[in-house]
Amino acid sequence: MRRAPVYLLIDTSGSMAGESIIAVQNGIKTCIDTLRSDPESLEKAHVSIVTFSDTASVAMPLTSVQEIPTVPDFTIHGCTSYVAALDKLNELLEQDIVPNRGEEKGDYKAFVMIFTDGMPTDKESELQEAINRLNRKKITYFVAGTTSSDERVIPTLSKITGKNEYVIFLSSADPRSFQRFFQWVSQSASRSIGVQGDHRPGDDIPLGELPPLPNFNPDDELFL
Amino acid sequence: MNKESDLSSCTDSCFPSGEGGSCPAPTQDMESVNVPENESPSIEPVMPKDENPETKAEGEGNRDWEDGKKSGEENISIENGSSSTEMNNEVPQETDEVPLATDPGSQTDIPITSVEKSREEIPIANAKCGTEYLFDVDAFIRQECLISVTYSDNQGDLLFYPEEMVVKGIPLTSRDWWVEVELPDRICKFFCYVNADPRTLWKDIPSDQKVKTDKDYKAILSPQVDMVGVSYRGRSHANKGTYRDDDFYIHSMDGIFFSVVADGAGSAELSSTGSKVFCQSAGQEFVRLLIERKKRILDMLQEAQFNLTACRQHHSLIKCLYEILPAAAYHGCKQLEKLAADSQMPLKKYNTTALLTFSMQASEMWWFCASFQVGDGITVAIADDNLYALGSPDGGAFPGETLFVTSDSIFGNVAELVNRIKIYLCPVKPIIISMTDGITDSYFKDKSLADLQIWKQLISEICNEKGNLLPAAEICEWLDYYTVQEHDDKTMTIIKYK
Repeated sequence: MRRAPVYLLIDTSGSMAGESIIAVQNGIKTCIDTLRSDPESLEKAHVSIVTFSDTASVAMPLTSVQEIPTVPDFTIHGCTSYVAALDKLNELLEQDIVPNRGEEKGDYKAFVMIFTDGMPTDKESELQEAINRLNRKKITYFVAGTTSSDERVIPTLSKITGKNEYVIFLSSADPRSFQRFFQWVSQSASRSIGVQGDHRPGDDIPLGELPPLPNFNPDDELFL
Repeated sequence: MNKESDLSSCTDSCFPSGEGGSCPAPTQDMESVNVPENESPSIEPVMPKDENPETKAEGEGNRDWEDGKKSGEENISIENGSSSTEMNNEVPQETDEVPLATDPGSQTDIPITSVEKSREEIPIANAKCGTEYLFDVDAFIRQECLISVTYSDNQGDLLFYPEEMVVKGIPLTSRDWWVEVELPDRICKFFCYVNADPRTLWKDIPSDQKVKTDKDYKAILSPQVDMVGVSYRGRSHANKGTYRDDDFYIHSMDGIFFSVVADGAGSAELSSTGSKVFCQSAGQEFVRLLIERKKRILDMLQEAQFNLTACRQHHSLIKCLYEILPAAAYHGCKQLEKLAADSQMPLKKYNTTALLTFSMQASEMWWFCASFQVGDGITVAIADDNLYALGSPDGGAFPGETLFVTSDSIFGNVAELVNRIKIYLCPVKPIIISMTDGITDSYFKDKSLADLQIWKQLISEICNEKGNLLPAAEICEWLDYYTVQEHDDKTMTIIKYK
């Protein structure tokens, strides 16, 4: 079984309590359902959900989208440690993703999304070290979503994702923006499978652009 | 609405749990959960419902007729359909709304209890459209009174069978599905997702056929040899309307049979053109170079007394092949370089793999074949029960990782190029097959490319009962076979001596 892993890192710190976490949970359901509507993703995509606050833990281990029963409930508490999230991700990339072995087919590289509503509570230097430790060889796209209006959050997340345009600001007041964001996440995850066509070992995969972002501006007339 | 409204008729509605349950099947109580009266209630499922004929008849005009007709049609797929038709006339079909656990027919009943029941949400294995589903819920509820059963929808394709304590059926549409089983003390909600059958989700969006056709086939038939080339666009390209990246070239001249197979890199934007231009230019050069050297090759094979080891050590023979195979591939790359320069694109946008193969009869007793490969895919020669690989696929640690003939490093190392030339001498008439990874990955899956039986199976599928190759168009259509997870372009050339 050749798996295309999708890691969703979800902030479950105290401030996510209430509507935010429900919107995220619904969003993840949308994301999984959208993956199930694409034939290639339906056959290949495997989703893992990691929650992080003071520490990080696996809320759902890597599971085929065909087999996922339901989005797990999240326990909300504590602070926001990006370091815990990234280290857990690294551990899972190492543990989950099996490369090709002889004629035995290995897994695809992973698509990763991190969702947070605030600045990390880690020390800056420790966060930088965790970013440096990240095994990007096993990752195609890394995208982020945040509801934080703290102007430091987007630059901080950009350091993690490696690309500015993959950090999306969402309005926490509007559940529809969550739906759209998570739909985009799943389309991007499907693309991550599609772009892993023939390439030279060790070469960066020419990723190209992700699908166009949905419109998140509630003032725009096009926003329905 | 009150779920407890059915309680009035439930005082002794125990169900046997399937194996050795002692309670009699209570027809009357079954009715309260809308199980039809039937001489064999023990195999009846609890059908979805949310209305009964009395309530619906009030002011609903001709809807009854429509409902009856629709449910009658749908009933065909339901087990014991004939015996449950009567009941199914009650099932309204036009609403997708999730029905609440209600029985309007007993609205007038006074609830016996108003104590809030505990709810258990129990995930059961996901189902798949068109595939038989069976899940045993015995572990969660057994030997219990059953008060009401409510479904997420009234499609009736997945049902709860209280006698067997299973959920079963053949689901028809992809959706979230659940059944709520109300017991005296609690409500158990079993839920799952019904996945679509991936086969039904693929789109077939044509690409611009002037740039490249979505499929291609060619045959060269002669008294001694049948030769076929076939190429079919993979589903992942068809689903997005993108081009077939694979290509091939076949030719025969002066008793020599040539084939070139190329797989344009999925990661390179112009690789469908890359493989096409490569096949044509390398193929034509291949013919030119080989025709000039045919006699020398035959002489040297004779010098080596058709001994394979001696041939491999025959320096002049290898040098001669080096001047043909890698040289033709190099020529193909030069053409691509030129194309890239003209269109001001980097060469890597045209990246492609390459498999160049030729064969000829070397004497009355011997058939010679040689191949040169860069990238994935494979060429094999099969003669009787001998399978010989004329090369090995270049791969990496992750899916899709391979080498390209267009990469800078390929033509820089003579020793490596020589290593990529493989020769074989067959004492009987062989069949020589070259194919891209679209076929090796899908047809062999995790099995070894050295498995002769799989090759024999493949050959039997592309030949008729007399052992002759099927027409090229038929072999091309055959390439559309379905393998889960493997939807790349598929291309193959076959040289079959008769």
